[in-house]
Amino acid sequence: MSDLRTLQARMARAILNRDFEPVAGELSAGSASPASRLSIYANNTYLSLKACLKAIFPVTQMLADERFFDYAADVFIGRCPPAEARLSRFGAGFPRFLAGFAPCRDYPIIAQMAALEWAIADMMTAPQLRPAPMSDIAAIARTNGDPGIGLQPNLRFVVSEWPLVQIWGDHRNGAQSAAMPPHPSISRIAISRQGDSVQFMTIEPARFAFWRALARGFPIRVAAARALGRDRLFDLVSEIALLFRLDLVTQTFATESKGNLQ
Amino acid sequence: MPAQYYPTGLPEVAGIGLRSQHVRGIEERRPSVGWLEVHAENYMADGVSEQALDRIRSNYAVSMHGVGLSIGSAGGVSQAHLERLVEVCRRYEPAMVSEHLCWSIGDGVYLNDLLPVPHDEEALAVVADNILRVQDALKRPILIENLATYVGFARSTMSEPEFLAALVRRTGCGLLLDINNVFVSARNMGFDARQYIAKLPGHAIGEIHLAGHVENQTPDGKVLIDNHGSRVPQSVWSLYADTIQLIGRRPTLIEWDSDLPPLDVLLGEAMWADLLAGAVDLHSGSADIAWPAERRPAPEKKHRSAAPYANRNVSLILQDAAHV
Repeated sequence: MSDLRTLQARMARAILNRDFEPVAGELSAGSASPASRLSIYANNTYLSLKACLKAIFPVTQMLADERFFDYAADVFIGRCPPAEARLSRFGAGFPRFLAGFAPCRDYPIIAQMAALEWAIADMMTAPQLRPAPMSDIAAIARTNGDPGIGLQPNLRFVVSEWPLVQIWGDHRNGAQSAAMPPHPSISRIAISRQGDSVQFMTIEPARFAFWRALARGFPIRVAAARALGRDRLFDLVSEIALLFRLDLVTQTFATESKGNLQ
Repeated sequence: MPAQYYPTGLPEVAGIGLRSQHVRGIEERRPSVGWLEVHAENYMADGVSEQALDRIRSNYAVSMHGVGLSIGSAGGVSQAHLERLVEVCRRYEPAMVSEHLCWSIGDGVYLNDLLPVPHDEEALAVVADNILRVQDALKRPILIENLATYVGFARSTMSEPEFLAALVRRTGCGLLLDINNVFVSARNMGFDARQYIAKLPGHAIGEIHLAGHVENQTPDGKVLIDNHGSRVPQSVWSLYADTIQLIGRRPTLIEWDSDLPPLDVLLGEAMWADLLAGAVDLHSGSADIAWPAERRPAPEKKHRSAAPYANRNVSLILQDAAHV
């Protein structure tokens, strides 16, 4: 007879691998088979985690076909089970898993839609801070150090070869199937929320680079350099003012130099 | 019947579980229901759900029900998860905190199910240590809920009521008696549900759960599955009435987690729980409960899957920031 820690580890593996015989001898179930009864826990585990993924990735499921999504989710759960009880965090690795999942390789839109849907789910659990007033823009000029801008912590970014927002919106508006667009084109999407409302912004490369660098904590100097690398006419002052107008700025601050232009 | 029982701070009436699909209905209608139970793990961030509960709790007493502490884990309770629970309780100031007599994390994997522990001295020491650690962190006692079980352990040396009574003595915790779970486990494991309840320390029971279950046919015969996806069946109502006769009224929750019905169905079940408990009190121990000949289900409308943004006030603002 194993100690409790070993028993629980063996049961967890049996449930995850759906191979119950190795641990069945430690269990009792009256006149029923312990292995058969243990399979109930495995069913509960897989079904509830699949339900969690289906709730987070509804349009991905539509694009992939329900049966295929079910299969992919099953494989994902077996390979990458959650390690903690906060299911709001489960699914973070699903887009990357789909991107590398051989049966999806010819359909990159599936993984890219999953990335969009994860960004939405992740954003809904992130805080929305009080926006800084436009008057704070003057503080940036007065900063002694390397000035930085803090953006809303719920701001998320997705890059795709497909018009994901349009497809996702069609689904939300009741489309029964998601049409595959004929021609891929790069779209850079920023997502934030205002209260319960999801706000999508499709933005050009320079602005996207600027926002993403700021969101990663880089000072304005580095973020602007990245933007200028994509558009030599990038208008820094106007772009900072735009961030204030969109209520995306939460603070201004001086930061130590965090990075270079690599 | 003891004059006093485990103090919870919850009103001695029926409450319902707060689910995201019903948040808007609760906020807009503010229905008359005794209290709300929330799952702690759904409120461990600072997003839309947390802000909604900030508003709702000003109108309702809240019971914080954990489903992920894994209090039966031989590896101990996760410090990170415990700290999050402490923060959730600080933010929402729940009237009561409860968890399950179970484990769900083994070998580094979270199984998202509630697995039973053996009823022996080793497990008793593990669970008691974990409960004490949680209570120390929260600076308050918690209630421990009995599971619906499908397997037992060859190594068990005591019954579950004996195990729970020992936990109460060792840790000062109270009990959350899930009557549907007792019914399901009794049928699956072959024991008498009423005797099980009679052996529990009644004074320690601070809250009751009621829920529905389904019966599955397997090659081994019939097995009851605790699915929280249907109305409380008459067999469970009957066991509830017997329990109230035995221990007196308690704050009672209608649990419904899957295939969620409209809010009114939950409110109806809660009302029925109050009526039944009142009738048992009125008859002062008599089992002469007037069951309706047939309780017709209210019209049920299926809800869509519960995406994080489903049924929220999500309006899509498709815009190009360049034109702002």
